[in-house]
Amino acid sequence: MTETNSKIQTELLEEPYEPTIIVFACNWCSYAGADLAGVSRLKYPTNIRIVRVMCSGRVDPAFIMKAFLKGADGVLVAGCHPGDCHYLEGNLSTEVRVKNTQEAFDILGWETDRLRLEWISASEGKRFAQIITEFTEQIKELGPIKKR
Amino acid sequence: MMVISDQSPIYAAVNLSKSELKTMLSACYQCSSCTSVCPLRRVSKFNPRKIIHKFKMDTPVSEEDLTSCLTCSLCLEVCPQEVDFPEFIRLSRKNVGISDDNFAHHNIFNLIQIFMGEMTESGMKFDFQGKTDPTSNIAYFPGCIDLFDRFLDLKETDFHQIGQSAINIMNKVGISPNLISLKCCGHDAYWTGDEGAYDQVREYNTQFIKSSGISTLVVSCAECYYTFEKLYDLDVRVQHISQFIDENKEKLGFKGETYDLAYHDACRLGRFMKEYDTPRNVLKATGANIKEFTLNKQFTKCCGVSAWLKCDDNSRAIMLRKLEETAQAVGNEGTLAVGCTKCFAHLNCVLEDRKPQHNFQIKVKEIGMIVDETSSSKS
Ligand code: SF4
Ligand code: SF4
Ligand code: FES
Repeated sequence: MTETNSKIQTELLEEPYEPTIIVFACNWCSYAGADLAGVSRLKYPTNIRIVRVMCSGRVDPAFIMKAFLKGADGVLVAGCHPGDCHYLEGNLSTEVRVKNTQEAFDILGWETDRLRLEWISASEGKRFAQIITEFTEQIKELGPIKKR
Repeated sequence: MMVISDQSPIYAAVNLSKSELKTMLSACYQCSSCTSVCPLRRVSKFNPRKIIHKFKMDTPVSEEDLTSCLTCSLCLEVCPQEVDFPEFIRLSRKNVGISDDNFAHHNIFNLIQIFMGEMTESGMKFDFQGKTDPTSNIAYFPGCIDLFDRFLDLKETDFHQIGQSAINIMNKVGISPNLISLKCCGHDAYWTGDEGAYDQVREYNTQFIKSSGISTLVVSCAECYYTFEKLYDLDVRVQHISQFIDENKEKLGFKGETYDLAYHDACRLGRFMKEYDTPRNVLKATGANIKEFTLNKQFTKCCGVSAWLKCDDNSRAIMLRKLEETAQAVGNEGTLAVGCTKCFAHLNCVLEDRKPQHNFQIKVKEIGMIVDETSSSKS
């Protein structure tokens, strides 16, 4: 057992950089979209960890900050397309908040590309897989976060 | 005399030099002066005297109490025994730790501070109009104002203007400041007991200030001023914007029209730094006729929130009282001057939250803003 463990460990060490990406997906559209991607057996990178929220409007900038502080390399906030939000205008305030957070990153001298906002509807399983693939590539290019 | 027993479980948890805590609390003879002046006591059951008493009887300070105290230091001002209660609270916070849900705004500002310490390699970037000069030996640091603009949902309050006014003023007296790119000063981390985060930013800032070769550092915020001057070990002169203006007020060409104004002594500028007169002199020079509060200078009541801890109904009640005092002094449409970015934020926040809470039409302004508006000099 210990042998296998150490074997696994060395293999892990040798593996290329695999970023961790936190996806905040709203229950009504984007999470359903992710579900559809799953049932349609679409392939996308396994770097993401999905956090389901009732509405993308629930995602406070503090959640995003915390995700990064706890070790995420990228954060994707996904919600319904404008006009489709289950709670009417939740996603509009998300847009403002994510923009503000990106501006704050800029003030702090940090990479704004690590944070992204996307609209993904329940029927867009394909789009979900595409966005995840693309975003993962982008984060891989940025490389691991350089902590002081 | 009661002393803290060495076996006390809290005592073991509070990892302090014993003598420090002993001298801190053992002098208390339970006169209750502190409780009688405490701004929180006016609106809640908060009782510093009782907390001290219970602590000596081996009851730990509850999380509620730990996070409620505003560390405004008014109690220390009146205590006949000079018991430093706010420091006791700070040290207890440091040892016990405060959970995230005690902070206002989902703790975003403290998270940012930790973020700045851990994740970024450089200081904050600023974007202001006017003349700046990276080689100047007089530096200006605006503080966190641009972040307040991003994360506080205030429609009518422009934090950026605090920094813009300061730069306008410096330009008007013929100085192009070095807009120094520091990290957050760390005041809140220090006072909420997160010394790890505080040390990270302090080390960066100290190093950066040293290598920048400046001789004077001007700041707008009372907390920055207190932190850089008192807590850091810097060999540059730290000036609050009011002190800078006071030295240069001849060059600012004030119109001299008189108007009524109320002034609130921020705790970090007043009680902590004993700076009561300079801001008043500056405001008087602009033509202000200062209508003093009944309780002013070292007896000023706090604005209601400190270090983004717990903005609750009690804080609101304290803020509303401050507005009420202002309305009594200068009328419902008068202006209140403050020397601290945080006071500016909290009081403006409660102001924007109008009906049905209140209907004050008061304006809360920062000293630099008032000076910039009333000075007729051209930059
Ligand atoms: S004012 Fe000082 S001596 Fe009196 S109860 Fe408070 S801490 Fe104790
Ligand atoms: S520091 Fe201020 S809020 Fe805390 S106990 Fe003393 S007077 Fe009350
Ligand atoms: S419910 Fe999907 S964004 Fe609001």
